[in-house]
Amino acid sequence: MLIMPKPITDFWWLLCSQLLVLRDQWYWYLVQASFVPVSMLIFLWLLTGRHDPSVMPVFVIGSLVSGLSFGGMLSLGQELGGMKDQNAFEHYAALPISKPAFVAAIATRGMLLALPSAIVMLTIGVAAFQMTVTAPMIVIMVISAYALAGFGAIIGFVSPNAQVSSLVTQILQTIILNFGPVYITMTDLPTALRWIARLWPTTYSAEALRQAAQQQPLAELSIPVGILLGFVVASLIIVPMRLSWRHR
Amino acid sequence: MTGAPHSGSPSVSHSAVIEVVDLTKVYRGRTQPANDHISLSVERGQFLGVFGPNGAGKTTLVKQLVGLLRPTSGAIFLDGRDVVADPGSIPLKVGYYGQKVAALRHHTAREVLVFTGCLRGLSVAEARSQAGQVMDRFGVGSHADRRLSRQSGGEQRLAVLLSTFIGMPEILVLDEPTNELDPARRREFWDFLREYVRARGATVVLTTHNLTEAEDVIDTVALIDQGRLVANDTLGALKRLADDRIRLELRLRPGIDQGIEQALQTMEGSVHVQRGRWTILAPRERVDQLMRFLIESIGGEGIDDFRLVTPSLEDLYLQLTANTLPQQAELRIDRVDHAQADH
Repeated sequence: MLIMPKPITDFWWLLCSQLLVLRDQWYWYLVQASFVPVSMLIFLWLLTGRHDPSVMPVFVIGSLVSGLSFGGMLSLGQELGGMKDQNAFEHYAALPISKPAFVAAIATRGMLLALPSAIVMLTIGVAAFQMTVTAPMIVIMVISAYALAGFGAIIGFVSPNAQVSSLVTQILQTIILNFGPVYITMTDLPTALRWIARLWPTTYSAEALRQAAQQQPLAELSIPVGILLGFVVASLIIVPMRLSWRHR
Repeated sequence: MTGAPHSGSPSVSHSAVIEVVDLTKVYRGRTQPANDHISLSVERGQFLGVFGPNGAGKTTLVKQLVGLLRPTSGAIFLDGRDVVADPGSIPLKVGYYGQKVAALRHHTAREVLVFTGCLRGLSVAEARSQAGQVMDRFGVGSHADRRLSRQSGGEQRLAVLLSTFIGMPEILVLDEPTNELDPARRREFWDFLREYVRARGATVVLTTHNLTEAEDVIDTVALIDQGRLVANDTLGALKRLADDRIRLELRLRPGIDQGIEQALQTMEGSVHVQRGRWTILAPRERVDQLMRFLIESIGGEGIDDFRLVTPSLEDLYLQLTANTLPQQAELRIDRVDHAQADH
């Protein structure tokens, strides 16, 4: 019989435990993650898209990234801040589990909860705007969801309480979506914002997805995808190092 | 009582499973220590009750024991291992019950128990088996598959409390384990805990405000007041320290001769609680003399009921924390005054 290493089994049980939230609230997660991006897409279509349909694929990708950000970064960051406020981590801290497994389970949960909204956006893109979905797009979507969930996990774990994590995620959400190359391309941004945009995973996610949608060679995607993977690894390594079960 | 704690054999032991040495905790931004140079030890198979008023520092102490709080200074050893330096080793030996259930509100009771077992390294089959046994024992089968968010506060706490025993840890640290449980559940829990300790030779540290129930299970007491350990010894030794006298609680039949009541009133250590009811405190060596006097002067027919008791843990607690609890001390004086006025 195959015996799995304890961190792997820990990850599995912690993920199962984290996903139990879906039984009660999956529709709220879907609504939360889909409502703003879909509304924004409709707004942009009304504003410019119906006069110039060629811009819509950029907006669809922007809304897709926005959905991943709402579902992964924003909701996970806020929920972890709330859990911290209620000392909810004490239950896990008192069990013989590995911290990286715990953080990986939390990030995977964020990733899984962010994906349905991205699928909704892709469906709209295909049905309404004749976009083509490529295999690399699916892979990039999953990596992006992980990177953004990890980003949210960092904010949630590092914030001292629920109020701070809520404030930080909402401010960041506005900055990374509205002042980054998500709904617009990098060349449309002022120089200063181009530099700041390099800090956010959403920048690389949108860049990689646009290139994949245009069916560019995989080699062209290697830089943004590599950076996204860097965000994933950093969140799975830095967060466990920073995450202290113990209060001071 | 303040100053140096009364400390008997429990604080110096070579077979200690838990050893706390000069532990001090000062929370960030505060100057008053929540735990102030506390030293104590717990031997294998022993039950330590940690008591004290609200805010005395009990939870701070147990959270440091289980590695959830970093001490400001001092050391904690579990089986000789320094767990302040290596807190990761604590969950391998210790089952901890705090009072937080928020993280588990989407779980059913069964899931709480089974997941806890799996995370403690049990196989799924073993975790299910242990969960089934403990749920059967407490008769929670009917709502074992209902989510905690849809259960009462007591049911939620019971599920999380029972998960502490899954994986059969050899050390249990229980912070207010019977809060929100109804009386029947509390009794079941204390019986279960006694059986667990007997069967496993487990060591238990618990805090509770329910002193009457705790008195039946604990071996040693650590009394904390304003962050300091004010007493640490066996229950019997502390009771003798607090008041070595035996208390006779006496109820007389109505219509008893007034002369007898006058004789009781003049007796040393007697208090007239209310009409026909007396409490008499007597040194141990004089109890037989007192009983003989009562039988001879009142006769068996005149006594409606009586019992002889040693001071309770609650008496001890009130006496040793009198400085912190002026209202309770006043309440006790009032009761005596009332009794005398009534008389």
